[in-house]
Amino acid sequence: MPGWVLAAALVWSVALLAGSIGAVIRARTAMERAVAADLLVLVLVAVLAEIAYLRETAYYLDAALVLAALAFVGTVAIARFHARGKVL
Amino acid sequence: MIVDVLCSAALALGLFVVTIGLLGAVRHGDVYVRLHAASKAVVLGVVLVLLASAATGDGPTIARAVLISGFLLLTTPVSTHAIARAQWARDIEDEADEED
Repeated sequence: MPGWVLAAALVWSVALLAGSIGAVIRARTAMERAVAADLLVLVLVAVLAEIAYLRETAYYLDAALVLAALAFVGTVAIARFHARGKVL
Repeated sequence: MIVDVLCSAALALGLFVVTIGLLGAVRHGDVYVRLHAASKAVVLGVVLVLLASAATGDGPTIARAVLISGFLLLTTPVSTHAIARAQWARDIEDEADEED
């Protein structure tokens, strides 16, 4: 992949990250915050993937996988707690 | 060479889709509509970005990218459904409170 494509993609991804942080801050209810937090983690996975391409190592994709798994578990836990008052 | 071009295009398209998803998740008023944008659009964009890993030609990288894509595609419907169900439970409660 050409270097400038990856550089531009990284800059734009960091801008998207800032946008999703703004979305988390501006969310009013708990469920809106859960949606925005899930969005934040997905954008973070994309940023980690691009850093992995840049550094030409697979290491950051391990972190991305763990982040995705934790986000899934956390989102489901928040949603179930919000709905019924307990998680399990 | 052609793999480079295709993967650069996949990267650009994926980031474009994530941008649209982020805009949709921020600018709508309802949790359900935000959920549509944040789950469907953004996951598609991230899968496209991970698809661009084919340009690196590195076996472990591509394997991990495919793994993350598969995991996201499997678990996003579950978390989306959980959030929608929680919001629906709250909406029903609020309606019942208003009727009192």
